[in-house]
Amino acid sequence: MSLLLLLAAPPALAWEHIGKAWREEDFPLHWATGTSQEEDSLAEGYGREVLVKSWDNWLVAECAAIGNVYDDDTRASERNYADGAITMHYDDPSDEIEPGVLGVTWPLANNVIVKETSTLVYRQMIDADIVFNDNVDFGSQDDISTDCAGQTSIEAVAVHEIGHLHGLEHSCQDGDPCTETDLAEATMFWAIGSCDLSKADINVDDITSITTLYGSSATFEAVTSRIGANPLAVEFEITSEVPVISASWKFGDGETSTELNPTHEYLTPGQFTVEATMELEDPVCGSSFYTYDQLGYVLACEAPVPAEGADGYFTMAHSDGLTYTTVNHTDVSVYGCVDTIAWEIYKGTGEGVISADNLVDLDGDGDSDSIGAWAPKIAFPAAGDYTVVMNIGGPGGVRASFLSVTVEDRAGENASGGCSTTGSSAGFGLVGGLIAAVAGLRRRRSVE
Amino acid sequence: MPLLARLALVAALSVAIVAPAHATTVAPLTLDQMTDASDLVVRGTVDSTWVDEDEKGFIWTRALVRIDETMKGAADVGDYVTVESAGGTFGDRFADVSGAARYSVGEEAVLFLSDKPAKSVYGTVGMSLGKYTIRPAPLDGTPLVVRFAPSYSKPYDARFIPVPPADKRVTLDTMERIVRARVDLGWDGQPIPGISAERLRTINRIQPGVR
Repeated sequence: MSLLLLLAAPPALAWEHIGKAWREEDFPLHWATGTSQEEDSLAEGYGREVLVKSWDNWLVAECAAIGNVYDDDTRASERNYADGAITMHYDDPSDEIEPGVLGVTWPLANNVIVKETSTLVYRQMIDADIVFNDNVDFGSQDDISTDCAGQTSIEAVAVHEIGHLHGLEHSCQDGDPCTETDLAEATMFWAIGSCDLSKADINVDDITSITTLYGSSATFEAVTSRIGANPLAVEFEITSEVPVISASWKFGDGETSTELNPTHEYLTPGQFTVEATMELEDPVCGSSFYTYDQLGYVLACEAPVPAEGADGYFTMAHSDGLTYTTVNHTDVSVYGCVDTIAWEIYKGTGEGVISADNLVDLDGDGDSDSIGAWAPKIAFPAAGDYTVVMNIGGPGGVRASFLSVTVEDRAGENASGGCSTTGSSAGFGLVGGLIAAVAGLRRRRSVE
Repeated sequence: MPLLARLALVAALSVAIVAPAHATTVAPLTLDQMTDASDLVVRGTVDSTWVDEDEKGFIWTRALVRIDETMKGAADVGDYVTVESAGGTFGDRFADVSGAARYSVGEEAVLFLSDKPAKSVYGTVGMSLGKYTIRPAPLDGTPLVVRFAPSYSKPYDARFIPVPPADKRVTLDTMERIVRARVDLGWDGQPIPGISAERLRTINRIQPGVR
């Protein structure tokens, strides 16, 4: 029963990475400004100038086949984010943009796939508009470099947003470790502080990113499963439209290789970023080194285990009446290694109790129930002996843990009344404590 | 609400992962600044989510949130608010706005909310910066607060988001103390990117000496 429930559950976390990109024939991208084309805090004429310059800053990525044309007409103030016309607005008259947000790109894509690899799907961009938050004290690069009084560089924000408009993501997101200098210093870093002049010019990571989208570049993919139980052997293969002369790999676990298409075995659990620096022979740009990485690409997992220091997978405590709370101790330190959970309650305890006939109908609807919450509050239907089962799984396998409990109806008492969470001292009468922690239920998963 | 009862409502919590997203630039706000910039700071539970298109042709994901506790502003426990987040999939169109907050049904979170009166909805201050999912610590179930902002291209299920390493955890109690202390103290008169001084005066107690 437990196994069936888990297999029937949809995968909660997938690792497909869907992006967006313009088609080759969309370039050069035509853009214009909205009627409010000047930021109040800037000198007259600087607003248009900074936008033109910000678009052109991306042309430094000369191996990316991009371009833009400024249509020297202002568009109506009536906002339409789905009219197919790229428009940049210097104001947000209805304060739609939340406090703290400096600028927003509103990208719109359809279901047409422009580009696809085993892990990356790019849908066709059909419109994108940029709006700056007019409640921000913006300044020019010159003003800020001369005397910064807390202004934010409008040019830095513009270059960043135009990167999004092209389809780029952040170099690091809030919460990423972001230990690589190139990522932290990229214009596409997730935040820009006041007085920061460094983001107005794109850096090597920005260039790599846009070249990946629109240039002759190379990528790699795993041709065997990249998500699974460790030890996990993964075979990588480079895909390139131009000849690849050499490659240098970092697998994210400290191991490296110089093979063109290596196979690497991951021995420890974790989420690993894989990077390949490839020497390409490009007909336009000549011989060049190109680095491509896939963040969190390989996920090697053990079957779920209790967190360090925990006594078992879960404990329970009396809450009120016939209701008990659970505390889930499962280790979730590797993102993606736990992605399914199902709690079941069986009437009775001891050997043979785990059967469909004993499964408790918790909500009285006539069907046996399974609870999908992480740490549910369980309302038992009546006093008596029960077995609580937590099935928890992920790419590394499934574990089932059991707790035998004697439920007593103690109406009016709650958790503050002294119930403990484990062991025989528990007020609700643990019969056997944690009687079993492991059921070797393993399942196979496909990656893509 | 007792701690253990609160825990039972928890679906999961957030964590940092390598999940790049796209499309905004934000200012790195402090917790005090986020408190000042909020009309409401609440702890709530997501009741439902849906996707809408507005009259300007943009796509929004919206969440109906039941308020479980109010730390700032005028809202009663048991009230519901609608919170919107830019992006989502609507029909055959798809908008992926970076840094947008994500919501899943049953999720409990602390939300720093900014009123959008023209639409009768709230947004979160700094988009995903203003949403902290509550997740129990694995050993003792202590409620922690964690930020997490995967892009719309990835499924979001708050139940399975890992907690941060022990040295980077922030408890719900700690956050609540900071927020309530700031609300009591009031706005210090310093500008906050993306919100006018006039509005800051309207929604905050003003610290003594602030002109």
